[in-house]
Amino acid sequence: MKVGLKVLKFLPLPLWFLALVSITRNPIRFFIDLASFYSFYLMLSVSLNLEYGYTGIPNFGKVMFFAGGAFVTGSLTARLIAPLAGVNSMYLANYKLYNVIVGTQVSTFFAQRADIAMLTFLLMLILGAVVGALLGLVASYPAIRLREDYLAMTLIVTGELLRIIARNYDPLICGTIGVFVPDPFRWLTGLYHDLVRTGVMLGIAFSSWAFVEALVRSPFGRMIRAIRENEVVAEAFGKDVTKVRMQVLMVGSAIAGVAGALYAFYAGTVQADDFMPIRTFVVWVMVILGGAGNNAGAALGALTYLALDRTIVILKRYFTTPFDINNLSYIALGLALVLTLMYRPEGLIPEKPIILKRVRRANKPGR
Amino acid sequence: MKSELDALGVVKKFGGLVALKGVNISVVPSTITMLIGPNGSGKTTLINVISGIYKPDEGKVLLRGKDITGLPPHEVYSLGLVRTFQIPSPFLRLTVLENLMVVAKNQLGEKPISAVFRRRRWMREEEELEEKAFRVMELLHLERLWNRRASELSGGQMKLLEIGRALMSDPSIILMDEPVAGVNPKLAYDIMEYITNVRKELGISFLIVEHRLDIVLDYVDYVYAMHKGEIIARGPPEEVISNPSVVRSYLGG
Repeated sequence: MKVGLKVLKFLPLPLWFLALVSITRNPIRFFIDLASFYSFYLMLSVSLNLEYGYTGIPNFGKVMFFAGGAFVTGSLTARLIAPLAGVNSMYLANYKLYNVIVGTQVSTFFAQRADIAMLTFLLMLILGAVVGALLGLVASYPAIRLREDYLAMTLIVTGELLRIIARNYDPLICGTIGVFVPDPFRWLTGLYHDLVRTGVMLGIAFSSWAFVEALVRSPFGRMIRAIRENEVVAEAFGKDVTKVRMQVLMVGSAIAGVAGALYAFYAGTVQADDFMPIRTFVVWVMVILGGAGNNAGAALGALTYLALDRTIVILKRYFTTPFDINNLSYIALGLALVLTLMYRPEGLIPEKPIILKRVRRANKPGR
Repeated sequence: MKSELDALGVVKKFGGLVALKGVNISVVPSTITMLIGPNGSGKTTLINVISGIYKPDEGKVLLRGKDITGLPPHEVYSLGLVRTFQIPSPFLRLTVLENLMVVAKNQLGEKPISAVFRRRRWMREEEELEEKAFRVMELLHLERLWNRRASELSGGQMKLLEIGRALMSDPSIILMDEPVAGVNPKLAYDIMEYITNVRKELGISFLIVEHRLDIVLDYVDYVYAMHKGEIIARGPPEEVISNPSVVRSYLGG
């Protein structure tokens, strides 16, 4: 009964999509796009939910870890495979100028060697996770002992620092021009290519969702919620708050790093200015909208935001506004945030107590 | 006899304010020791220094002879010293059951990797912990509330939960900051009876800070009186409360 009602509540959502799809020119394309974007954003929102919703870490530097994964993928993939693909080493010597040529040749190589392509893909995801986790450690180390607001400031600043370094230090991702990323799914063609790639991305995204869900439904999850409630008391009751917050930030950042690697492969290019702080705030809106401290909420929040965003992208062809139409998405985002905070501060799906073991207690009083 | 807890010449300054001016106390194992003194005399500061929340500027804190001065609170806790807070501080959005279970030491499921991949192992621990939590709840008459969020409890129930949480970790000594303040007399006596039983059955020592002398004094073995950051009297309860300087510090004049 209860579950049935819950489903009803979200019924308008698929209807909305159907209506939307009917006016798009290419419904399959639309869904593939949406699903691909959803997979990065799901990973970002679920990892921010772990950090903020469950542990209370105000991670305003989310984009940095996402960027870390994207930068390592962008800077290494083509260069790593270039010798195998027989790319002229002259091109590698002047990578900034010739990165598109190198990348294209590596892509062509991937078209013939699916095995190497997939191994590279996997390696980059792992590297993305490692770089994300390390960045999480480095960025938080000086500030994790500080009060929440200072930690938030430190993280937002470090995020910008990383973007500015990438923008100005050419060897990383070719500075302002950005870097071309070869396509590891090039051995597939046409619609099949897009479907498989998006399927893999969604699979990875839902695995991270499941990982975070398993993590919070454990004594670890109970501990991080206790730390969120009162860190002094948690510390007095034996929890090493600094260490636990670092662990959480490393796990969350590793997930964001993988999301960044996926994004780099999906976009086919990595540009430093694609990693502005606004991305962090978008993810925050998703978490607050969906319901902090509830992973289903984080997933729904990401979907709601993307649905809104995509709707605007499609609809803006059909009408004009007195302001730059591209700002409409931000206006809607801000409005959604304000309305949520005013009328439903706990989000679409509020946090619920987690009961780990209830079998024996089924007959206990007070249920 | 070796003492459970010693504070030796503890000095704590906050800027120009000297909150503790070389305090010496010791708690004999399996006894209830009480710390009294007017507001601002440094009792809570002393508790905070002992439990590791503040680092003392001078002096030592020994737990069963082991130097624990300046250790972080979570390490002090792991050595068997637990404290409760003057203002009840349950983890508000956790349930009563979770509040109790979360404080248990060395849980396998608190390691992030094990939490995800060794579920079966820590589930067994969880069952034992849950049994124990229910025993504690039954003692404190909280079992009907096991699934309630702590934020929904009354002030008195929060006090009980605070005590229950302290018991969950099998401590050797519990520092209690005003366990019966703001609690109705009936419940206050119950709490003290309960503390006495725990002391008798489990041999846990208590260091209690409390103003409600009328209720608590009958249950305690030894009393320290503090005033302006110093111990001004020590001894059996009757002796200390009739000490003229203690009376003066409490009543003025």
